[in-house]
Amino acid sequence: MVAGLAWHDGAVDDRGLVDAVLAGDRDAFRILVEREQVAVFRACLRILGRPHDAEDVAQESFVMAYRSLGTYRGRGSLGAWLMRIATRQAFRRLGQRRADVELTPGMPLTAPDPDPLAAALAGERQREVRLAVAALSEPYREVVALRYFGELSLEEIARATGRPLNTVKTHLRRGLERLRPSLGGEVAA
Amino acid sequence: MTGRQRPDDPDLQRDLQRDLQRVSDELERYAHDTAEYPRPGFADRVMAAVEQAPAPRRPPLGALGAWLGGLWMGPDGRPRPAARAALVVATVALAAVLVLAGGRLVDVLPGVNVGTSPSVSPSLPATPTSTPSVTPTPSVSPSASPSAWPSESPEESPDESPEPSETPEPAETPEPDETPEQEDDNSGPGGGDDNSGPGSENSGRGSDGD
Repeated sequence: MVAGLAWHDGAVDDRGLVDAVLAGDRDAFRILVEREQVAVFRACLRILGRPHDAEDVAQESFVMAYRSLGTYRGRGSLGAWLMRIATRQAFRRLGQRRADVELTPGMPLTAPDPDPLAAALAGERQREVRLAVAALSEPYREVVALRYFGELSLEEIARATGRPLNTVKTHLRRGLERLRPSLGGEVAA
Repeated sequence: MTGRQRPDDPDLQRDLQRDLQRVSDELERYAHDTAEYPRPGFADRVMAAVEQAPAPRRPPLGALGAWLGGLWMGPDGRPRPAARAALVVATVALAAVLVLAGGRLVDVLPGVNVGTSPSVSPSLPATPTSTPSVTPTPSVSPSASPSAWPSESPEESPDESPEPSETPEPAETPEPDETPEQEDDNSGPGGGDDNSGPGSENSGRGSDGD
């Protein structure tokens, strides 16, 4: 355990956290897990649409990040680095069960709606969003996913990917343009 | 028909902007509706899985790289101005040292004709009358055992070429830095940065207040 370091107070930056883990302190990695688990889980859920799969992939991503922590170069935040791993893993998992997804009826991820018809429509719309984003080509898919599913700012995405900020903005815009045919229609509130 | 609309038509741009905003709103609505939490104990399960994983190790020269990276990068992940200036000074100093060392080398080794053409070397014959064409061509001297010569045009079978498919798949590499970056070409419709597109807000994670 890293004694005397108040992780949650922000007294130790990402680099310090990584150094502690690389020095053999597994407990330091727990700090990262607890700090990022919700964001990583949500990003995976938004890509995969199934809570069980999202937890599975999120856990897999944490383990992968742990094993590869030595390759973290401090470019961008550790959370954004982890988010890139998680979204990539989630899209890979989605690709592996793509045929299954096509057959899965839309089920809303939110609390059950008392109106069955509204619930079905909401679930179907969520499914359309997932599939539309998943069908994007790179690098647009990654930028859209990091921005909306991972809830990273454009600056965070730029630093994590090593791309200029204006390039990230352009990628996002083009990604949205490509989503326009499937998501640009009027939606009943 | 009123003719084709130009891409820079203000009406067209307005429609496009409205559509992009609609797409952005839809994505944000989706994110809001799916702001769920993992089941309790998720962190414990992750740590249990981490316990089974081999401990991470720094790659070769990783410690040096991390140290240099720590000097170079600030806490926000951007290069420090002082580090940038130090790099420029170090480069200039290194260049100066190399130039001075080169000059000193000339003084120490006066016999070396540094900067002169080697064609003026006196060891060369003054009258090179014999032309290289005197060299017998292989075709007119078949008496030498042809089998002793390797084939001039080895026909390399494509099968013998090294298999290039051993390159690790980028997607399997958890370190995302190895992904080839596509630079912005600013071509095509809507190209270029307008800095006003939907989703360009800097509202990062946590905006939903979980």
